[in-house]
Amino acid sequence: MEYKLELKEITKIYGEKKVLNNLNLNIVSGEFMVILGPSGEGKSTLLRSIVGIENIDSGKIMVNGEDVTNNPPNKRNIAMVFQNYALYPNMTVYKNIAFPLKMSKMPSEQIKEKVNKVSELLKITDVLDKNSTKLSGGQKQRVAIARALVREPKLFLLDEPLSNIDARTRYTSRQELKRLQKELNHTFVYVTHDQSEAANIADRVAVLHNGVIEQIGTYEEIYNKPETTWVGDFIGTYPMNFIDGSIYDYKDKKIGFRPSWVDESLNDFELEISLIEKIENNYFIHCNLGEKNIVIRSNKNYNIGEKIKVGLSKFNVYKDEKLESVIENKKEKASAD
Amino acid sequence: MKNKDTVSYIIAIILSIVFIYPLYVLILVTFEPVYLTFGRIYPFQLPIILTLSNLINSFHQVGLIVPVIRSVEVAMLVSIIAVLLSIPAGYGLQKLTSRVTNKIILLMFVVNMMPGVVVAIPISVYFIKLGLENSIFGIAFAQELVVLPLSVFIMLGGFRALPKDIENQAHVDGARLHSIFSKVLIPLVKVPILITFLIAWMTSWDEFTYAVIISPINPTFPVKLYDYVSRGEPFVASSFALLVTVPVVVLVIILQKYLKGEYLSGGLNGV
Amino acid sequence: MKVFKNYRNYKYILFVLPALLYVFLLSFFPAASVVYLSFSSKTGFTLSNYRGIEQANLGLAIIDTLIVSVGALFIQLFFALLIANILIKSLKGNKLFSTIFIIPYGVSTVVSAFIFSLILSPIGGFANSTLVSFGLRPVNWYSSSLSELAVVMFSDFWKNTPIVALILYGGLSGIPESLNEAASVDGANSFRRFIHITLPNLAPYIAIALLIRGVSEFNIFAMPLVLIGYFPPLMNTLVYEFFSSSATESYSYAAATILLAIILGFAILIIKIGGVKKYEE
Ligand SMILES: Nc1ncnc2c1ncn2[C@@H]1O[C@H](COP(=O)(O)OP(=O)(O)O)[C@@H](O)[C@H]1O
Ligand SMILES: [Mg+2]
Repeated sequence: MEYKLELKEITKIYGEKKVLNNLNLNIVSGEFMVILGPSGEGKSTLLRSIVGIENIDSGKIMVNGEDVTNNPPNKRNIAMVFQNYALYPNMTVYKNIAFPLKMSKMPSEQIKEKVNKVSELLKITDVLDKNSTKLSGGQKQRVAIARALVREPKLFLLDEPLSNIDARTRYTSRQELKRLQKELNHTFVYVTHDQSEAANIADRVAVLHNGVIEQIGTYEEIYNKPETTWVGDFIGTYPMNFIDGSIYDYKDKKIGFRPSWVDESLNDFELEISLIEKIENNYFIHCNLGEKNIVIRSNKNYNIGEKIKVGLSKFNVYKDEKLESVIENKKEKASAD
Repeated sequence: MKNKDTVSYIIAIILSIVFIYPLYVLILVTFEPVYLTFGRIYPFQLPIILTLSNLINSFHQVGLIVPVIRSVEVAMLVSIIAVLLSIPAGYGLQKLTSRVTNKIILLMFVVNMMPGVVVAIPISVYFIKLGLENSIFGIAFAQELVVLPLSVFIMLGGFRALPKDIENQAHVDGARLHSIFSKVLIPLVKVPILITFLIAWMTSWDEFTYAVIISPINPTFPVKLYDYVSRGEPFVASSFALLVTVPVVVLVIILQKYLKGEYLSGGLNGV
Repeated sequence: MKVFKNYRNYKYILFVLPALLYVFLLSFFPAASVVYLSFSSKTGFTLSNYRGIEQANLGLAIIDTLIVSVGALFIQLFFALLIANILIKSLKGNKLFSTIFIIPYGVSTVVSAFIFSLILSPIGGFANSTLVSFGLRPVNWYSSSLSELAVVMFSDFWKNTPIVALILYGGLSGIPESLNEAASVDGANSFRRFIHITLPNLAPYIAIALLIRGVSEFNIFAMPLVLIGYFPPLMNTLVYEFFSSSATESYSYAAATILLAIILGFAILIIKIGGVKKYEE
């Protein structure tokens, strides 16, 4: 079953603020799309607009080529898991999961069958008779997902579903979600501000910033080739380093590089070491390059205050904060010059 | 025991005496022989001689029970209308920006600053035309005016306290407005509804201004009581007052856990 | 001013409309007809109703009503704060105290007024009986207009302090204990804690209590009617005095109209300045 969601130039305004500003995004069948962005960038607003509980101020939402912009939520066949799960506190787990089916007037034997099936899938059969307020965070999240899945929706939206549970459970839940999505071959749009989550489970990541999708692609693509300096700065445990382009003859441009792209066998510029962090087997070395503070990765341990000469094995060139070119093999390029 | 606690205890005990003493007086004048109370300039304050004759004499007076029944009927009507109107109003107000919500609530309260008598007199004129004068509907419709602002405010608080996104979730799950109300929202605001009912009931039960002007012929309990007091029959009045007050006080004490400030001012929270 | 959180929210005003219309229709129509009736007689337009009330002391009625309202609010607020602060301490026996303090809420206004008329009689009465038994001189509680108003205020205090205490207690229990603890660690004594932590956090609750009670105080009627009759006059008792005798019934419209005009001014003032901002925060 093919499914295609297109967001065309959608704008959502709160007061004076354009939270979404002519945003475009296409989502295709069976993919696990992660919308990544810092808090307050409008990720929840985007999901709420897709599902139809917020009306957009302009733009179009198309499903399989059909305009659904003005359809109410119950006509969109999209399921959503809210950030705080929004379980109905007056109902048991069973009734929570059965609720969407009941609303679609499904006969009760069929409801029972479906609820049982989905609760087995999510391993919550033993809490079906409990009141939804008596569950742990992890259980609540499973129930919310079960309630969304049971409808067999075309599209499945999740708003930071793992942000309210402890770190360990979060990690296993992540893997389980991914497995579930692949097994059922559902289309997921998953919102998070946590990039390790995005790196882990996304087929594609869309980075939301200033009301638009600033970049879209696999996590590796975004990590290695950030389209803008903002994305470079936002993605990665350490932000991408940005230095003046004149070091490699790129006047009025910026050079961006990851800590691991530093080649200590080169002698292109000098750094003064100011701080050293050891993470597993690597040293992350904070250095000063003139006024700039940058971070490089090394497997050697240096001393603080030491001056070292390094170069870059590869780097990106940015003009006016936008990616201009990717220099993959600097050594070759240098020798060719 | 800490010093501060001693001060608190002393204040609490003094206030307790102040709060109980008037009820004690009511009980005293009901059960002491008249020659010890109304018969003396300085009534006798210790319960030495007790009698049931005041009560029995009062019950020979006809028509005491009718006003009480009437009061209960009116109060029921008032509280039902209050609940029916304030559920949608509280729900709707919660959706508006808090600036507008606050203005509307304030306006509803301020309208009630008009002296009740000023409003009640012309209402009684209208009600005469509509045949509502001296009817429980007439009193109830007018009293609703006093009850409604607070009722709406309480329900607004109830809806504001609902978990975030519960209603959105119901929308997403495909529920329509009537099932959103009947299956999700109403069950979650049961307590505020109960409080609204209770407060409306108590307010109507207590209400005098509209009752005396709109229905002087078939009075409610406070009007009838005033009648006895102003005719100078305090022994009848006291028996009557005590008999009616005791059940309501007991009711209030039983329902104490619902009479919480949080509920009354719940409309303050949220947004 | 933005009316809706979301532009689709326009439909929600429909839910509010029945209650709003109810309040407005049932108060604006009567108010309008009071004005109309005040100028009409069987033969047509007339000013005779206004001439009839020339002797009446409308100004005094308004001033007295203000004295009673403000005074009663002040006393209730003070004692309610005291009670709420005691109850929040979870002393032993607090359950009993809170039960006692709620009792007057269950006693209706007319009953309360009646009881206080027994306690505070001009001659004798229970209060004086107590004074005399302690060897003190009896007091005439009705010796001056002001003391008569005080009698009304005191009875009103008894009847209505519970509801104010209830609201303030709700506000107090909403203040996180950690705030007070942090302040005591910082060395603030209990008075300063009250001024800097309790009061600001309680302010919206105080505002709501004042709004709810203020409107009722302004409308005070049964209490003074039973306790002091028609003099000193309050707004409601004054109009009612005209209304209750058929000879002067039509004068009541004129008195009501004048009061209405003054209160309209008040109401506009309140909406314009005070209230809104106060409890929006
Ligand atoms: N109902 C609303 N009214 C006004 N502003 C809102 C509303 N909802 C969200 N916003 C604003 O829109 C921005 C985006 O919010 P949100 O979508 O929740 O961000 P995210 O989910 O990325 O953290 C925030 O600045 C927030 O303050
Ligand atoms: Mg969010």
